[in-house]
Amino acid sequence: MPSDHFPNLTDRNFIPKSPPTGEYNCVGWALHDQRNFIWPDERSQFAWPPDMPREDSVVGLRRLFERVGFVVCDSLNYERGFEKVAIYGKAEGPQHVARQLRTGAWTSKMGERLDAEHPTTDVLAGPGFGGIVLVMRREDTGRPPILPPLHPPPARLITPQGSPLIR
Amino acid sequence: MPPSLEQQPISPSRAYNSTPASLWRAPPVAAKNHASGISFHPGLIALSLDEMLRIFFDVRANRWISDTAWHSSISAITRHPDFAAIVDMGSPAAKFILERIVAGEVHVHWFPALKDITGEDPVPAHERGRVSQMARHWVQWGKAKNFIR
Repeated sequence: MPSDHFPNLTDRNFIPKSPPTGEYNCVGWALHDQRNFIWPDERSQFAWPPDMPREDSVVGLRRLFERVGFVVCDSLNYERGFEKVAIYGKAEGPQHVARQLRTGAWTSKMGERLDAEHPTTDVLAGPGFGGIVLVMRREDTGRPPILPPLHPPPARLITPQGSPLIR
Repeated sequence: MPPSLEQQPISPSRAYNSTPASLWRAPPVAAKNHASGISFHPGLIALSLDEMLRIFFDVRANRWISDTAWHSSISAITRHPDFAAIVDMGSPAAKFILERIVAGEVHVHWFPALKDITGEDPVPAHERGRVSQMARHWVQWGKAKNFIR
């Protein structure tokens, strides 16, 4: 990672946990989803609930996490029984989401690169991702949150009589 | 005694076979433009337009990906100046991107660039964000549109 973007990051506080993959990103990883690159992009090319506006903003991401049971909280400290996510942002908008582990450390998927553990959110603060702009938590049920559909159902060809053209 | 390399004319076949990579090596022959007094490498005049575009693309694409691969924000990725430079290249950039995808170099970066260049998006809505499938749809599209074979 470029040190000018992440001045607090070192080999000792950023522990790689996976090989690089572009199949999922930080939002997917925060939601325990390793199949989707999730982002409310303006071109509508990436995964996002079809019934939610694609608003590339902190508010847009907050609504997604609220949808799956997270609520805004005011502390980054580990609280037993809760899972937290922290959204990083800059003036341009949201940049990254990290998820807290039961150890109190944090886990981050870095774009299409690796995922890694870091003891605090400060490790990734800096010119690259900005700082923490929102913290949210949900009850730690031991299970991933139930995600809303991230895609519309596949288009189906139907006959004029209404029956499927391809069964 | 055969003429020295400097005295040999550059045959069309020799010029055609000059590769961009040769430009990064020390030039074996320094030709001189006597009118201007400026020395230059003969390979420079042998580059095809396609080769020049490819060099332009490769430099920018590699830097763009290196600078932004750790970003999840598509806005942050497309805000990089090399994104605009690549999109401004138009169809040649789409061809180079599709060739890289075929070669197995899949980046999320390619998808907004391809969409902005071509004005199309062959990925069905139910596979948005499934990066491998997105790449597969773009390759099929590129073949159907004769961008790639």
